[in-house]
Amino acid sequence: MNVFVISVLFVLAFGTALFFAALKRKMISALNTHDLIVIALMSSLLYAAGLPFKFGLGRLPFIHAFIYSVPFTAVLFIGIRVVPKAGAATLIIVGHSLLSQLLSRGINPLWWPYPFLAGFVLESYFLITRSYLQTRLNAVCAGCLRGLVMYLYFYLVSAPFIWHMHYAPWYVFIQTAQGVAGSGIGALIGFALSKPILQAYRHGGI
Amino acid sequence: MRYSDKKTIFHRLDPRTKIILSVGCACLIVIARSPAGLFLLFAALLCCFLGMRPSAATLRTTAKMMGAVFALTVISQGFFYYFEPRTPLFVLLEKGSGLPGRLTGGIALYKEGLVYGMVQSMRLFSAAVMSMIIVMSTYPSDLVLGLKRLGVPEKIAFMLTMGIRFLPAIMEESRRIMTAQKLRGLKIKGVKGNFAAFRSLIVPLITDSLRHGRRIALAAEVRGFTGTRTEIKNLKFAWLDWSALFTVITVVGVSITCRFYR
Repeated sequence: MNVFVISVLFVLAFGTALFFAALKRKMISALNTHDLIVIALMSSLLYAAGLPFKFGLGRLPFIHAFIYSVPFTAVLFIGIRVVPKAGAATLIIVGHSLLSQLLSRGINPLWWPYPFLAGFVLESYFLITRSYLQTRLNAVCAGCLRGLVMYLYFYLVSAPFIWHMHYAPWYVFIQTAQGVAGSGIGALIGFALSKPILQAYRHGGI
Repeated sequence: MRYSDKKTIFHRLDPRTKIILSVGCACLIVIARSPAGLFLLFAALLCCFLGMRPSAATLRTTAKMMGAVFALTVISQGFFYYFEPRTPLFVLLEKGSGLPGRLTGGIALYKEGLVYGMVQSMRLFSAAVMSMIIVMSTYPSDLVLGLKRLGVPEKIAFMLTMGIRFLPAIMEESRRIMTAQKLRGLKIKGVKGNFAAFRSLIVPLITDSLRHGRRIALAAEVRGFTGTRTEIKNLKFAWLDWSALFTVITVVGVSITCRFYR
């Protein structure tokens, strides 16, 4: 069977297992209107945060994996810190992916397993550690895990299947290492920036 | 790339038809193997795109983007080509030349890789042209409505609608914050400047957006909002939609048959 089809089945099974595990651990709480609006906001912010890099440093070849993953992870982790509930990470990432497909890339379901996997990896990490980025170490580990899984999935599964593009192992390694480093740094930045944001948000009015 | 208000055949199609067309096109992009098939697909999509009468500026941007994609794909696949046989045109790094050579197994530009890159860039062009057709002919909110009618959960559709509504406000707000920060002496050039600009932008932007979100949530809840909404716009399938669906289903079916049962 095709590697991509196997990966889609794996993502489906992973998501189902995760849902039941979260249910068993009583970690699922309903998302209210306010949470949904904040998640929608964070999806838009993820789209907007990447734009200065898209037209600036992101044009530099070879280091774009690092450049992109820093703002992405930083904004994503701020979002998770604002809505520390099961499903929030997946919804932010999937929302961002669908939003960019609607606004610029065109709808392509073949790319949907990618954001779902990104969300599920983080959800499973939160489920295991029972912590929604409450410590710096937790944030860095979650960031690095996201970078590792996503860049490997992109270069080994998505790109060869959807684009028929193949990359040399050393290039995949360099890009993944950059993605891991960028996501780790982004996680640190997100963790640091979320403190003043949360404080201003909690104590501020409407 | 954004919506352009015109009266073309694509503007008249139902958003659901466009979503199914783009899914069919994505399947064709993956299924097609032969250079002739890929070129045919790209040529057909390009004709559709030109049929939308894009502006000169859009055509220039598209040509530039395609040029960049073509160059990057050809070069990357020229270096990363691993199928056999392959003919090296020039060697960048010898296999045995020190640690980098041993780690990478040598880096060379292969003739077959360049050709493979040229063929595969047709796939990327087709995907890009298809996305431009959809984006230029449909309001994002209509696409969300189409997705909802095709079975996307209510909460995700609501989030997407909110995201689309928020985006212009966020962009406007970020421009305002950046102007204010520049007036305070912020330098945004270079690596350090890019990250400094990100830091100066993101804290006030997110704080302000969250407050804005809180106001919206409050306004929605006092009006008894539960997550489900009714729509003013009704989607209807016309004969044009049925014929477009029939065409794409036939083409995808024939392609799958040719690919797997030849």
